[in-house]
Amino acid sequence: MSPLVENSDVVLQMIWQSTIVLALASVAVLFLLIVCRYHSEWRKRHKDRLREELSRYFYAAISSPDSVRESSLPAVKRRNMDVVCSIALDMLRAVKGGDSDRILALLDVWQIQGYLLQALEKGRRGEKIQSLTLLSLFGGEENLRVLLKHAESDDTYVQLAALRGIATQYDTGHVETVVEILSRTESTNRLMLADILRHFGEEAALPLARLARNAEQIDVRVSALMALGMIHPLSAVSAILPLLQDANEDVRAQTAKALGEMGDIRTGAALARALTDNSVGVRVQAAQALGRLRDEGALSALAERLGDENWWVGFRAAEALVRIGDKGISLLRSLSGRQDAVGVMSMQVLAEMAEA
Amino acid sequence: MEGVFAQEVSDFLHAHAGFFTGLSWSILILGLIQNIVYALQLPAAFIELRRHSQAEDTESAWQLLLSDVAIPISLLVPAYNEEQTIVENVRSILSLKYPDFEVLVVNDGSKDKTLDVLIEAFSLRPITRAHKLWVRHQPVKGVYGSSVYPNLFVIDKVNGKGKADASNAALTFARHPLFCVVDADSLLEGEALLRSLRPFMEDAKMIAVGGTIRVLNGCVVKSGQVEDVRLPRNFYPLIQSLEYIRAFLMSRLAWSHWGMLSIISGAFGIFNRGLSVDVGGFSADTVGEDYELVIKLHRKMMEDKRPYSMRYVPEPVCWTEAPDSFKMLGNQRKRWQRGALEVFFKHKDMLFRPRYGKMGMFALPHNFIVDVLGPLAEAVGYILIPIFWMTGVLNTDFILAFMAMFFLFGVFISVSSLVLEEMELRRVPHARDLAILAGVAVIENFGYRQMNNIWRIIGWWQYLRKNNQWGEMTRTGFSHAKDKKD
Repeated sequence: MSPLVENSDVVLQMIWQSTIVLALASVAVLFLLIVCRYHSEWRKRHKDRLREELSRYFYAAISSPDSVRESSLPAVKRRNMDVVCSIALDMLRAVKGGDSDRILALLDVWQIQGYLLQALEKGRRGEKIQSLTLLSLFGGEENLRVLLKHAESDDTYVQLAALRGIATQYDTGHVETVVEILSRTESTNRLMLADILRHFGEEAALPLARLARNAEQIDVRVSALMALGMIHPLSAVSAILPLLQDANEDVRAQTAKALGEMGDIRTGAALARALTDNSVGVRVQAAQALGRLRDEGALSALAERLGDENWWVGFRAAEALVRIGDKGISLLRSLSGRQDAVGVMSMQVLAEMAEA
Repeated sequence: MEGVFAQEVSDFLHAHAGFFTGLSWSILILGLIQNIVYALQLPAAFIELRRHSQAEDTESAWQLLLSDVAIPISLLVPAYNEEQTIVENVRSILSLKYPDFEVLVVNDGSKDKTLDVLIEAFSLRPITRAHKLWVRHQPVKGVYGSSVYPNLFVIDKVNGKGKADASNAALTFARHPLFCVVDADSLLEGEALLRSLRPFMEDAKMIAVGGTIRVLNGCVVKSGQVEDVRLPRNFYPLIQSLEYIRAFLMSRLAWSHWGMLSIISGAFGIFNRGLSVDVGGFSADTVGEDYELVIKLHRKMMEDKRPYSMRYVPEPVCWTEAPDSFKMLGNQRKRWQRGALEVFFKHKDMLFRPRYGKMGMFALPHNFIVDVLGPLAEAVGYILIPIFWMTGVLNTDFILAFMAMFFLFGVFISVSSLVLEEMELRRVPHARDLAILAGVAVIENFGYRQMNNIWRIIGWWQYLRKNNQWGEMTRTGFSHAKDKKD
């Protein structure tokens, strides 16, 4: 036997013995999980039956002319309240107005708000989001306080659920608080945040413009600009116009986009200047914005960009010329005879638009 | 006579015992390094799963679906001789829950009626679509648009001998900032795009996201969607079900957590179009074009010193038809090995170069151990170590340690990935199925793993012979339970 191997016996024994222990331990844990799964399958079958029963009850209750009474409610144990919440949320997504109020009245009789508050404390992310969504639908000062507290959550999606609740269910009086919270937020889902902020509506235009200028995080600034684009309030145009010169290219691009959506023709000259920005993203957005504005004053600036080193800038400029109308199309036609990239682009876009 | 020969062999081995024990120890240490990495992957995967879990969050996906803010995406569907499945596959893709997407099907010079069935099913007509030849591919014969589905386009092109060329042609005509290549033999879950786009919305530096691939065989499919998830009854797809859980849920999650994701499956990955075009799109000179695109993106971003992220998200699932015969499975594994070697050697200059950060210093060296040395070392170990033990060159503890590393540790890893799956995702339909997969986790290490290694060695040989055949894969269509061939 080799002396090398003899000296390493301890290491070898450690390897095979620890591997046996690891393998056995993992099998034991999986065995336990399989047992738990058997048990949970039984519970799931029970919950599925309960869900079916409760769904029937919900449908009957919202179509009944009588008001909901506690005595008529099916008995639901606290541990099955998640089923009630899930049915209610599914139904609330599909109905509006009076039906929605009846569902909430039904949940109120079940005293679901206590359960929701508990789920907010102890539940996992999905349960927290569900609870915040439902609590916001009930409205009220107490729930608003809960939502504002969770609007400061470190968990992006819990925070967004709370913000959505505030934006969609409460008046715009809280937008300043939300802006203050967001100006300190460290990370977010920029698109979902924009979708939430737009719900604050036109009255939130100036606070959102302030957020776009001052927030610490670029993502939050971009979200505020996107929201402004979706709200398109003319009152915010002058507040965000200087952001076309911002140091960050995402901010500049989103500003161009928002200005296009706001549709103020007076921004045409600034957007035409943005067509020569260093960033491709800004040039693309500026071209599209000018198309939306249908600004005939930008015809020559757009035509110049047809030969941009970046194909997408040229393409969006050509699209914008088509959108501007007869004068833009005539200009494209006159350029389509050229034997260079501008000619090819003009010809391709004219053909595509004609077929469309 | 035999006794004399055995004695001579024994004498020879003992005379060179130093060399042979050194060789044995090298193989054992290689296995040990691989297994330590696997063991470290488990907690990393668990943390990543917890941090980014979307498992119980249906509300956020729903809100995103209703919104106008989702990032538009182009779905590229390369198709070659797919007349049986293509219409159903395109219908399934068109029914995905996502607010803004376009579908570009590429008929890659099919010899069957792929184009004809598409034209008829979707009322296609020739159109002009402004474009630039961003990446190289075979000539395009025509572009078709649908009068019924404004977001559907079909590109008819000359065959380019591979998925890479077809995907590149689709890239030429794609208009959206992100793209996803969807195999014509795969089905995306309804909410797959909603969930996999989330990292792009959270992180402006995100350039690629990979989703999970699961085995479709055995499931019941209706109207292009998986209606009833079941385990395959055929042995080969069944064993692949476990392999996919292990590869995706443990390995890719962990690499994603460490910021060193080097593989995003070609069957379901979402990429930044502009950057992918900048690196030349998919390379037609390798069968590992999906793997190579990811490496090229890493290389480009690090050479340009630009911050970036890539992530794997476990919840969105793409169901794919797994090979259900020994021959087809073997062909697939040989091709994967060839692809891994082609990509590794193409980018070997990144190895141990600090300029390439964690990819160069850790991820690629790991791929070197697993893809390049791994199959060779394991094969040599299977043959020589028992001989050394029988002739007394190695002691019993050594062969036990070898077996622990190359057989038993595999059981630990596979079972642990099932534990992870059950604790966080619960996608295995029933307790009984979980028990079956646990049995497979044990069985696969005794026979299947060794067979896989033989296929990988053949893949190595094919790589050296520069064989670049794709191999045969027959489709059966989706509109029924997939195990009809069992």
